[in-house]
Amino acid sequence: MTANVMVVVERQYDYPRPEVFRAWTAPEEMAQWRGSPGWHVETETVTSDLKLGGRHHHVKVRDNDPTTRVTTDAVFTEYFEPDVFVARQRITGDPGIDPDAPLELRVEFTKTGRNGTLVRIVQGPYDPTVAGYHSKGWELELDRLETYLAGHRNREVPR
Amino acid sequence: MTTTQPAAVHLTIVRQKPLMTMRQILLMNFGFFGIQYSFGMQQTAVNPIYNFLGASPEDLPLLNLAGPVTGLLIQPIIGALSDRTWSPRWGRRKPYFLIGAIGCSICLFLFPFVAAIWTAVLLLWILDASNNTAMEPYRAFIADKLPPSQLAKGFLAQSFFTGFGITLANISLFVFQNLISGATSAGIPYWVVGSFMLGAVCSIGTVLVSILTTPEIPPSEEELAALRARKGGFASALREIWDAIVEMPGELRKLALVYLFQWYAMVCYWQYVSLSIAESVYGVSADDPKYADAVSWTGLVNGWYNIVTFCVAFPLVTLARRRGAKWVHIFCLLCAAVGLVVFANLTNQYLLFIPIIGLGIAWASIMGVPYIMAVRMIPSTRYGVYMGIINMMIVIPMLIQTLTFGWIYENVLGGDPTNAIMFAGIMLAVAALAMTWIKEPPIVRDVDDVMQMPAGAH
Repeated sequence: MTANVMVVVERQYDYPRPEVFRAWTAPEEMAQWRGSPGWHVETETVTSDLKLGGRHHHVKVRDNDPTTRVTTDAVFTEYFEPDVFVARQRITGDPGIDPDAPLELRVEFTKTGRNGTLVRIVQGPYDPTVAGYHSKGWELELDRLETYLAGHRNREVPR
Repeated sequence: MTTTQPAAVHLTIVRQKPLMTMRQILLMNFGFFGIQYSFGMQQTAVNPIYNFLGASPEDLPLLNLAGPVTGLLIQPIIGALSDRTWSPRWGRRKPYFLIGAIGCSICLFLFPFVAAIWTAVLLLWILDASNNTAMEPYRAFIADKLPPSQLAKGFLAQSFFTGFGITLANISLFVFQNLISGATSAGIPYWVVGSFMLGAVCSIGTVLVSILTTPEIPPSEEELAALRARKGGFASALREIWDAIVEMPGELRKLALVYLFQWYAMVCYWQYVSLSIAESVYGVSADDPKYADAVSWTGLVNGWYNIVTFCVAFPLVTLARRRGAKWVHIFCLLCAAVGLVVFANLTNQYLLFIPIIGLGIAWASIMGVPYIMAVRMIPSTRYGVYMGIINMMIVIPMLIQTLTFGWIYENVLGGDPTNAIMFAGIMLAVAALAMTWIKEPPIVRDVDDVMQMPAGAH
């Protein structure tokens, strides 16, 4: 089948844009929450040159089977902190994704209300048969981001 | 498509949007053609009908009060209601633009048979309410269906059909004048009747084509449950409009300033262009029998600028992608500003077609480009209500124009319609200046461009 489906995922967070943008892009932060439940990012594999044309690399590993690895290599084709970043990705190791067909990941951060952020992820094009699986993956990852941001805030605020 | 509600209050909205082919995008937007034909008749033929029925030029803004008031009241409410609508049979946005199109068709059918100004005013209110009911859910429909990388194509396809619909409305007036003679007992020529009848058919026919060929993206069970859990009807829709205004992104607020000037200018142009041509080219006023020639020539001029609109709509997609929507819109507004100032000073009827090209370029941009920016600033679950609020940004300037321009026309512009057209040009230049204040969200490239880039992400 032709890869022709774009996955669009969005969610609002009650945290300011710079904080949410940093959670997505800073290697030490993104490694803490990226990946669906049952997966984690290998912290030592994350490299990210946070600028237009900069390269990004990370490996996700299945928690209960470290030999199952999905590698993401990307180049930032747009990078405007804290508004948006766009990465052209090559993903290898995921049976549902053709490593020779690059994907585009666009993540927008829009200010909402006083100090909130609307995160909108657009990724694809996916083959229609796997788009649902990846949609679900993003949905679960965004729950993890909420947990991470809440925990991060709690660690920063002295009691 | 799935939706969950974890411990946090915010829903995660997930949609899968298949990339659409150009043919699918055109079919989806085809209904906009009929709606805009109706709008074109409202722009070009309604004011002459008032004039045929004996209205004075300084009363025109007040007689056009229907446009801004119905737009102000109806569009945000329809938008908010459509956000919370889902019918497995009819969809989310389609019921609204179907009802709107039916209303337009009935009004267009009845309009040429009016015999008094008050009935024309009443019918204009209903026609405008129908146009408004159809138009904004249609914009939300585009935003619902297309992924961000195809939104520029979607909205500028609407500009294309805007130009096409209004062109046909105007050209039909010119062509039918040469083919059909006679007039109704109220003095409305049969060639005007013919144009309205054609509009009545186009309005409902094209919307049906779009409805039957383009399915809406259904919500998931979870999203549907969340929609049903939102209690309340009309009052809660009003509350939602208020909340959306309070939470409106700052850049969208700045867009309101641009809209203030650009829509004030456009209404001035539509209301006074036939009088301006009558004076500058024919040397007559509305009470002269030769005014009918000026009206017909106005139809041709308006038809021409709308031809320009649909010719430049798709090139503007490419330009917006490369240079950004903001600078494209500024450039287009300046083309119109210069064009209108020159237009008002011409006495040769054929030369009018050159400067009005600027207005055609700007009209393509006005109907498409700001929406490309706006939908990137708002949550997709609130497209309907925000499209309605954007429409408030259109109709409030129209309302201000209605209330203020009669005085400006008489006391500042000396009751001279050519001055009114120059004034419109200046307002468009001010709109371009206000546009420079907006910080545009970074450009979204077309997915086709991305896929054509050399692979090399290692």
